[in-house]
Amino acid sequence: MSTRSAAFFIAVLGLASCFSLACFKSSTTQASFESSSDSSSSPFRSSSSSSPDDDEQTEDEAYRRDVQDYASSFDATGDDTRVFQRDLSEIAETHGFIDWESHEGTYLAIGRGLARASLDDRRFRKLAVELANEDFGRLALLQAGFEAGREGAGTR
Amino acid sequence: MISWRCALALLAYATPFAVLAKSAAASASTVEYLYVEANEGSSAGGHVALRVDDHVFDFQNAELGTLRRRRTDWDQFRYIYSVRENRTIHVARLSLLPRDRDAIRERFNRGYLIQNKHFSVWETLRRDRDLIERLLARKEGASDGHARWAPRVRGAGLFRLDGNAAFDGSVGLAALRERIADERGANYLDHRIRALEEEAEALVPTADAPVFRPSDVESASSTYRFSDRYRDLCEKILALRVLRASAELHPDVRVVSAGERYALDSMERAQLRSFADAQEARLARLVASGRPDWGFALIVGMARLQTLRESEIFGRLRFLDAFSADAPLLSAKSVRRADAFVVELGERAQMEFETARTHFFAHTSPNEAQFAWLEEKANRDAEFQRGLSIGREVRMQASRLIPQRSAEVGRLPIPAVGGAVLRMAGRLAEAALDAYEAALRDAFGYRLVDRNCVTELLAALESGLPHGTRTDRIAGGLDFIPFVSFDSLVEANPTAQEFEVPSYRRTRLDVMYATENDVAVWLRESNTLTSTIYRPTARDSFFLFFTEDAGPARPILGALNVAAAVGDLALGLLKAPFDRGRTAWSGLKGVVFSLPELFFIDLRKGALDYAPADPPRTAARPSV
Repeated sequence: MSTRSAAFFIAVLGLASCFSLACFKSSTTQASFESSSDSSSSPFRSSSSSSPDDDEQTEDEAYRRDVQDYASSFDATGDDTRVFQRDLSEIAETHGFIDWESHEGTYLAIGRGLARASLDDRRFRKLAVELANEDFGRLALLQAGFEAGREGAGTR
Repeated sequence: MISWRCALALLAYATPFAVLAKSAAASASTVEYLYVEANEGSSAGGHVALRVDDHVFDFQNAELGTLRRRRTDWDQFRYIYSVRENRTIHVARLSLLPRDRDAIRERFNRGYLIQNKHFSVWETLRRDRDLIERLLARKEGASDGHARWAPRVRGAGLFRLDGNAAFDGSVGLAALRERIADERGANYLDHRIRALEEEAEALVPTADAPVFRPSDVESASSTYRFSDRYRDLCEKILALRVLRASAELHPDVRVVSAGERYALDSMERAQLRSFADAQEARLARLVASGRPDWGFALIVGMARLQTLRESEIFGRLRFLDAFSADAPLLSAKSVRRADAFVVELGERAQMEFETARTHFFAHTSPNEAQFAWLEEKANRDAEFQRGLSIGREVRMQASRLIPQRSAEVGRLPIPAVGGAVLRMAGRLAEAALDAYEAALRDAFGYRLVDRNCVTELLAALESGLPHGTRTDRIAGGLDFIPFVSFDSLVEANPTAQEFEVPSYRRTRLDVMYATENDVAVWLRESNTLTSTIYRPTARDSFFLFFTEDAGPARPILGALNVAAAVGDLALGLLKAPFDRGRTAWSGLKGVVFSLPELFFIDLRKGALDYAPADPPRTAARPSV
């Protein structure tokens, strides 16, 4: 890349700022999501992936990561569990599905994330019972995720 | 101003250490700092982003004058910028310790999710205010549309709710209803619906305001607010009413497509029956779910159950129409002309559906996410198939497809809140909204020099490194400019692997120069009149010559561009009464973006509407 002089750049910057400058949502980017001639939307999204199976697997992993990362930001003292559950619904929808309760990765990922949120055992148990909704399988997954998350945090 | 020198220094420190310590692991433990060259109109100073795995994180201007985090698939990012925007992407690949790389990924991803949450709270506050306004207008008998307002419910458009649905017209819901009656009692649905209706009537507006925490570590603190509660209750009531009536699907919501690939053999029919049975059992449990928004999940689940049962009966795959109502359209003109990109997209949609279909039936016990994947691919394929066969618009949607079909529903309970309470609640809701918007602007407001896509990216990068060291903030300099930051980063990281993803035009030119006469290629491709790579688009300003590869001749070609743009501007002024100033605006922009070329600075690259896939659009190569 050629290095340009700062003086020239500032002059140009002033001129071009009549229109727009860095960080503005580019018209093409916008067009790719909104225009009628969008050729970069979903059908192209995975064009370089080795196979659609990989896409599905990647999507699944991305969902688990999002749940874990989001759970790790949970504030046990101030957050409402119902709001947390609605947020999980939003995360699931961005990954293309609705029933996150039946997704086998959800509760493990929540447990891992909550471990990162530094919840003590008492707070975790209370929250886990609320989230599991009397389903012992879910409770076990939450617990397993929580313990794995703690071990992971310990080795970091 | 910005505090990211330490990020560069720490990266410089981490790189050789990582390479020495774990050379094998380091190859899979990298992040890439991306600098996207400038272009007209969007980012005259260029753009920066960070790639971690297959995700690219960057910051872009957004609502309320804020700078929002964005996460994009790498393939999509590369396609948008290097192909459609014709901008070369410069890449500095940095090797890190795996734990440092993971920390950066987590930090960026969490920050992205948390910022989304902040804006989600803002949207909830807006919905609170709107709901209170509607309730108040309704109560006061306003003469406009508010007086006749009925709640709009997600999924309501999937079913026939005209009151004639009491004939068990559905395939599948009667069995689900009986199952629930067996498990929970014959009057369960009646009692549950009545309890939910009473709960909705007793709802009162939320009095407290959410606490804004400008943090990318902790999520926004939020309570379960009035509008969300009401929406959830409406969806639950509707879902149970649909189930009680065993309502049939609305005739417009099915995707029934022709073609062999939608036919089911006997084994697939059996698999589908087994999947439908499992879904029915899942839906029966959903009515007792702890999640507050199970109503929508039940509505969509019941609609899908019907299409599954129909597929099994008729021996052909049927799905719900999952496109959103405002999905962008590919013009009928393009479809009828069978433009190259339409054909390519159609072929790709078909291929992806066939693979998803194979994959779904290969699963021993697929889940809802896997079915939703198949449903989406079928929707996209069927949409192209139908569009191409009858020459009509084709719906395109970049986001994932989920059947929503919102519709107004009458005869839903309305919160019984008095006028005085509503007026007070309205004032509180407005105040809470104003305060939250101010907090969002304060925390994320865009500022040209000290809070732009560069400063925020590097600040997040710095805080993602787990060393906990912070250096003095920079009090000046031009590091907020994308290409300067890239140069600084490369300078601070001598072991960084530098390469580029050339723009589409440059990629094609390389091929042409290698196979044709250089002079002929230059003469043909240097201008917009005879170029075979570029076709003028409405997004670009008026120009004649590409100056990106003009070298010393750039000022001369720039002068010609200025002259041509001035001419276009003059012509545009004459045409202004007829084209609403479009030509004049294009000419004016042409002048402005050509002037830097007089000083050897090239901003304009020429955007594309479409680029053929063969030969390859762009590919990474060493920097030149």
